[in-house]
Amino acid sequence: MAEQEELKLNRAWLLDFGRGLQAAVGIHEMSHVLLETRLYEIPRAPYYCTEVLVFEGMILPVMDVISLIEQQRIVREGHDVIGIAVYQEAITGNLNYAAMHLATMPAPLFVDNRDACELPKYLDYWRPYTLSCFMNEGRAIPIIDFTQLFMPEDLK
Amino acid sequence: MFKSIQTADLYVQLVFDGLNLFIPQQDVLSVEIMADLEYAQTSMGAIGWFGQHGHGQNSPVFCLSEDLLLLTELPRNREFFILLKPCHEDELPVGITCDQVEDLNVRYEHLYLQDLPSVMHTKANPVSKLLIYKEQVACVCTGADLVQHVIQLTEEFTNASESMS
Repeated sequence: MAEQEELKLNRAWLLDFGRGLQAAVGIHEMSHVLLETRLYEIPRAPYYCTEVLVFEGMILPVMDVISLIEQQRIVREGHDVIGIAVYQEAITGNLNYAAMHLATMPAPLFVDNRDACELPKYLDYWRPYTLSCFMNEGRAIPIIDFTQLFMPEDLK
Repeated sequence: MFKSIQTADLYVQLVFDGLNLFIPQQDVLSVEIMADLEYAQTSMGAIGWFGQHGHGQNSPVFCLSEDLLLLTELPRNREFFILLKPCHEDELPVGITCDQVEDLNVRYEHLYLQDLPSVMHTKANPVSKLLIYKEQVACVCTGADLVQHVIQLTEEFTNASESMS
């Protein structure tokens, strides 16, 4: 009899960046969601990260994931929310905070390890930032690594 | 008891096109008024020349936009220009126009400089730090980095002009 894979559930956030782009991160990797905040443009910054905000005295970069993935500046339409991500570049490193535009509030979900799948070819644009992938309601969702997402351009 | 003034705490704040830009005071040669500028169309993208600094040669003066790109037309609000010290002894000071200019001691003003987030670094970005000033986020760059950035822009401008002619 084939040994059944042990069920393991992990809590995660489903992030919706808009234009059909969705990804997930671990439950501890989102710190806050800001519904109203002031953004400041920084000159000569990469087209996918031209803004900063002030959060608890820190000046944080605001990533536009749609522009990053589509490799061109996409003008955002309508109101969005800002997610504050928290991540560590090394296991013993300091916590880093960074922000990103989201189309909607992050949705909590449980990820069943038996739903793991390969990153499909049609989601290949996520590959540089993806740790793994799983099926959720019939749709492949990449689990992304903020360390890769917020990496400087010359190291990408 | 007097607090000693540290040169590293002294900055010149420029405001133009809504951009707040802080430059270390030690990188700035002088602050001049626009009345002393000799306006001229140049092939390098400068809006004119300034020749009163005793070097025997004129310094080019540039207008920058809020995105730190060259403007060849002078906006109405530019009242001053600063002269940045050249990177090398055999080079001329470089002028940058601004709407407002002020000198500030960041320690006295309790301003805390933060590194530009690493994800925002590009080769074309002279900004190295950010700070919060009067409920705004201001940019900080060294005079040498700004001069280098302007030199890069002038080369691009000159190349573009030559390819069009």
